[in-house]
Amino acid sequence: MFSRRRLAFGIVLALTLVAALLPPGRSRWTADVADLLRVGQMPFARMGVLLDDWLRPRRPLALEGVEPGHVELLKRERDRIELLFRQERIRADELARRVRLLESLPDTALRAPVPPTTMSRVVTGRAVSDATARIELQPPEETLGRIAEGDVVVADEARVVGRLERVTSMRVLVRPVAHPDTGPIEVALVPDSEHSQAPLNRLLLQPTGTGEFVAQIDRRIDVAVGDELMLTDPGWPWRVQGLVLARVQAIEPIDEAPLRQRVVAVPVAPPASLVQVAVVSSRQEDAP
Amino acid sequence: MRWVVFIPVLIVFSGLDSGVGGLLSIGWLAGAAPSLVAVLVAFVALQASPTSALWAGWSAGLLLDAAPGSGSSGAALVVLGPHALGCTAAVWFVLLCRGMLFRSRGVTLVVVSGVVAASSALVVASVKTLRFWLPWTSAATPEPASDVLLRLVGDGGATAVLAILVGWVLLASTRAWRFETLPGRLDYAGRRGG
Repeated sequence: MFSRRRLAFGIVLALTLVAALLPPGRSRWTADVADLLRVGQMPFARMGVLLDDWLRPRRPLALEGVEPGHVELLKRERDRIELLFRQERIRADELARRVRLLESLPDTALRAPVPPTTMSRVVTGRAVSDATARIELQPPEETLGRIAEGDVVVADEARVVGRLERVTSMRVLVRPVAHPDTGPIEVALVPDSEHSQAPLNRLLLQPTGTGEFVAQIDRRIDVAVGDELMLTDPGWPWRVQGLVLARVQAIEPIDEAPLRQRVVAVPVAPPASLVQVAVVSSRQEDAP
Repeated sequence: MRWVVFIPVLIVFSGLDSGVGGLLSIGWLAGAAPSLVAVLVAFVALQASPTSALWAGWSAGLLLDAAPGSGSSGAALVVLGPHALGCTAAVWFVLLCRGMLFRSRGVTLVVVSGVVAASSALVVASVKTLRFWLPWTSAATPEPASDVLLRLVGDGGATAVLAILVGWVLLASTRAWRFETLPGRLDYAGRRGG
């Protein structure tokens, strides 16, 4: 009986040795056996861990062996780098916006001898609800010398804002297209299809002084509210011809001229919506 | 030996060993830590019949192999066996020499606990080294021998210190265990002398 017990124990020991030396591929079952054996241990192991945590609170692993003064230094450095990172992100976002703005300009504007200049800061003290008030820009230092009075200011999506009225090293004044001093502007209805061979339907927009334009148009011309009006005025630089300037807001009959109708239009780039603008040179030396 | 007493105590001790191992580990001794299970194994090895003591040592080692966070090959692979073999070898060693010991004395349990912890750790380290040398196991590189030696000594010393308290509690509860063996020769001598 005793020898049989010893034999059984010997076999168990031999199996244990085999299990201890098994290759990993044949040891998958041991995890299941261990899970079963752990069932009773887990509560006490958890108690031990809680006691360990209570007696010896954990410090963050990254701070082990680091002097408290160095920790403060590292935190300050981290905060500074985070701030720099955020600033660079803002800068990258601004540059991306400038690129998008420039990409929306026609090729003719991009090929000008003086390339378009972007300005991101609109500094104005007037009420932004006034569509006729001049817009004051703070020109970046690098743009001085590249912009001149008469240059055309364009917002994103190639929308005409107005023209530079005054340029100094301190500020730049933009006269919006809806300003009464701008005078009549010749525009045309944007054709439905770019392949249309029909002649353009031209209008002469007259600023009303209230931020709107009015124009008269032949009653037979098909025009609808929301139609866009593009710049065709020979008094404006040829590089910005074709850019959208206004949108039809209303169409009214004219009692005294039954064959014509009045078109009320509004600028497509109201000053209140401006964040970033591009300035397209008006120099005429490379005109076709 | 009453297994209904041994098994719950073993489960509690192995769980606590696993949980507070980090708290009690000694960094400058290569992470050596005292072991409640080693004290228990030493106590059983001194008091129980040889067969019971060997089975007790084997089961205690198996539970250490399976204990959470103390797997022989880390969390990804549980290697059952190194501690089972180590504790069995430690019990075997104690069985060989316990006839010459005052088995019911506290100081004996303190010293034997240290020996059990160290010898068990030696066998575990040997099995790990063997696994490293075997071509099919892809085991991790074993620790340097100096670290292993330092930890053996540390495990033994720390366990011996722990056994001063735990051993006293275990010895006080000897009657509950109902060990079937008679005291060793030297215990009789001690009693006669005392």
